[in-house]
Amino acid sequence: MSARSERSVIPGFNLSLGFTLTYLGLIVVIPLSAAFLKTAGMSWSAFVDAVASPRVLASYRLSFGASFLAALVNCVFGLVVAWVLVRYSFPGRKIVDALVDLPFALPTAVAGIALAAIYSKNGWVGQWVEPYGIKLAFSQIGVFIALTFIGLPFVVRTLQPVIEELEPELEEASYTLGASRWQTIRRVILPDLFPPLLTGFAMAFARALGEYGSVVFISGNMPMRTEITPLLIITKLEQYDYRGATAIAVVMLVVSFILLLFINLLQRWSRRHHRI
Amino acid sequence: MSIEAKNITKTFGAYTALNDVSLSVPSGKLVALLGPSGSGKTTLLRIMAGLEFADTGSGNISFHGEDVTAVRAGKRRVGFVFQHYALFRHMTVRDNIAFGLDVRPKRERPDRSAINARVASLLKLVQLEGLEERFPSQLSGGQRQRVALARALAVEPKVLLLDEPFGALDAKVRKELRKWIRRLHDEIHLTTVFVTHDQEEALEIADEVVIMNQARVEQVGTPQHVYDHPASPFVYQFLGNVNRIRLPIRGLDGAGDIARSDDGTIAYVRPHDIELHRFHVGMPGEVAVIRSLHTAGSVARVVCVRGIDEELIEAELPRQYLESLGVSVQDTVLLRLRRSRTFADDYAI
Repeated sequence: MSARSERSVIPGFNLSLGFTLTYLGLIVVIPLSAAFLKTAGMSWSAFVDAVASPRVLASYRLSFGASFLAALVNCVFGLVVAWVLVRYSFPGRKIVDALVDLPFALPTAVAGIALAAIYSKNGWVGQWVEPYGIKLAFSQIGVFIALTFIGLPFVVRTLQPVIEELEPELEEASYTLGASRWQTIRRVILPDLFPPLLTGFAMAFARALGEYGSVVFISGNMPMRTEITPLLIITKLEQYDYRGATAIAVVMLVVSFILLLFINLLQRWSRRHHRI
Repeated sequence: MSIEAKNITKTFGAYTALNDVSLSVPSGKLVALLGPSGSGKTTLLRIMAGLEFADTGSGNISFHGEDVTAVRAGKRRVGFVFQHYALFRHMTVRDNIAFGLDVRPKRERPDRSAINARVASLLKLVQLEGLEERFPSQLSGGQRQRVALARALAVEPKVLLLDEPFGALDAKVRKELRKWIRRLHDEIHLTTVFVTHDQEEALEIADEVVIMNQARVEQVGTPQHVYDHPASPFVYQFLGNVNRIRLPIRGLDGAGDIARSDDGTIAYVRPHDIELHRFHVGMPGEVAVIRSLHTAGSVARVVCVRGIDEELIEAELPRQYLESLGVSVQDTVLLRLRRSRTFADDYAI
C-alpha cells in the first residue's frame, strides 16, 4: 500500500494500521508464538515422541477425519437450509432462522450433555438404533454428530447473503433456454455458490478442529478410538507435560494453517471471474 | 409465428395483475407492450414465455394456433431477454451464448465445432465479434444486453420476448440500441414482443403498440394510429404531451366561434395542434395571455393563460413562425385549436 505517500480522502491509515497490528499481535501472534517457543526447547526425538505416538496419531485421524466429514455434511444440508430460508416464505421462518444460530450461542458443554443424552442407548434417538447394534454416543459417530452440530451455522450464515443476491432471473433464463432443473442447479447456481460454500466449509472445519466442550461428553474419550486431539492436549496439561501439550498444539496449528491456506487459494481460484 | 393470448387473468393474492386480457401478435411483427408500472405488461410477457401461469381456468396462450398454455418455458422455444441481462457470471461470452445448445440432450446437441460456429455467427449478428473469451463483468451494459440477446437467439426461438430491454442502460446507449434492435428485426423477422414504459421508445421502433393500464389493454394499433387517435383519456395523456382544456372554448376544431357548448367537458388537444395568432378585434379564436416562452430547440413552446380561472394551455410551433409573429411575454394572443377530442363521461371536477 502506498497510502502513506499519497493523499487519501480516508484519513487515519497510519493510526488504524498500527492499531490493527498491535491488536493482532497481542491477541493472536504472541500466544501462538509462545506455543512455538515452548516447543523449541524440546529435542527433536522428544518432539517426535510427543507428536507421533500411536495414540496421538489416532487422535489426529479422528479429529481431522470427523471434522472434514462434518464440514462436508454441513455444506450439503447447510446449503439446503440456507436456500429454503432465503427463497421461500413460510410460517415460522423467522423462528427457524433463529434456530440456526443456537449452536453458536449454546455453551458447548450444554450442547455436549444434551447430545449425549439424546444419542446414548437410552436416549430419544439412541434407543431406536441400539437394537441394530449401532452406537451413536460414545463412538466415533458421536464425535461426528457433535462436530456437525456446531458447524452448521457457519455454512448457513455464509451462504445466506450470497443466495439473497442470486437473482431468480438467472434460473428463469436457464429454464427458457431449455435447461432442466438439475442442469440449472449444476451449471448455473452451484458455480455461483461454490466460493461461499468453500468459506463456510473452511470455517466449519476450523471450528470443528478446535472443538472440545461438546465432544468430550458424547465421545466417551477412549484412547485410540474416540479421543480427539484437543482432549489429548488437555490430558497432557493435566499431567504437567506442558511441552508435550504444546508440541501437539503446534502440529495442529501448522496443519490447520496449511489446510485453511489451501482452501483460501481454492476459493480465490474459484472466484476469479467475479470481479464486478 | 403469431402469438395469441385469450382471456388471460392473473392475480397475486388480492392484487389483479391482468384482468381478462386478450391480445394477438401477428407473425413477424415487432410489438411493444407499453404502460406505466403496475399495468400488467411484464406479467403478460412472462405468461407468454411460460415463466408465469395465468389463473387456472382463465384462458389460454397459443403460438401459431397451437395451444401452449400448459407447456413449460423450456419447451415453448421462446427467447427471453431480461432487463438486467441475467448473464451467467462465471461463464465466458461463448459459454453464455452456447448454453441453450449445451444443455440439449446428447442426440440433439450439435457438435463442438458447430456450436462454436453458431456462437461466432451470433456474435457477428450482435456486432461483438472476437469477444468470445470475455466474462460478462468485462463488458459494458449495452454489450451485456447484446450478449443476452445472442444467447436467446442461439436456440432458434420461434418468438423473442424482451422485458424492458433498454431499461438499465443510460440514455445514449439506449437510443442506439433500440435503433439497432429495429434494424436487427428487419433482418431476421422474428416475431418480437418487448415491454417498455417509455412511450418514445415504443412509438419509435414498434410496428404495433399495445397500451396497457390497470391490468387491461387500453388500445392496440400502429404508433401513428395510437398517437393520432387515442381511444381513451389515459392513452391521450400517456402518449406525448396533451392539453386538457375545459369547454367551452372559442376556436375549437378550426371553427372560428364556439364549436361546442357542452360545459365542463374536457377537450384533449396536442400542443402542436394549437395555432397562435396576434390579437385583432373581431378575429376568431380564444383570447389568452402569454405566460412564458421556451425557445431552446427547433420547436418553441408557448405557455398561455386563459380565462378567469387561469387555465394553462401549452402550444408548440416552429421557432421561425413564433419569431415572425413578434410576440413576447404578457402579450395577448388568439388561440385556434386545429384538432381536439372529447370523451363521454369525462368531466372536469
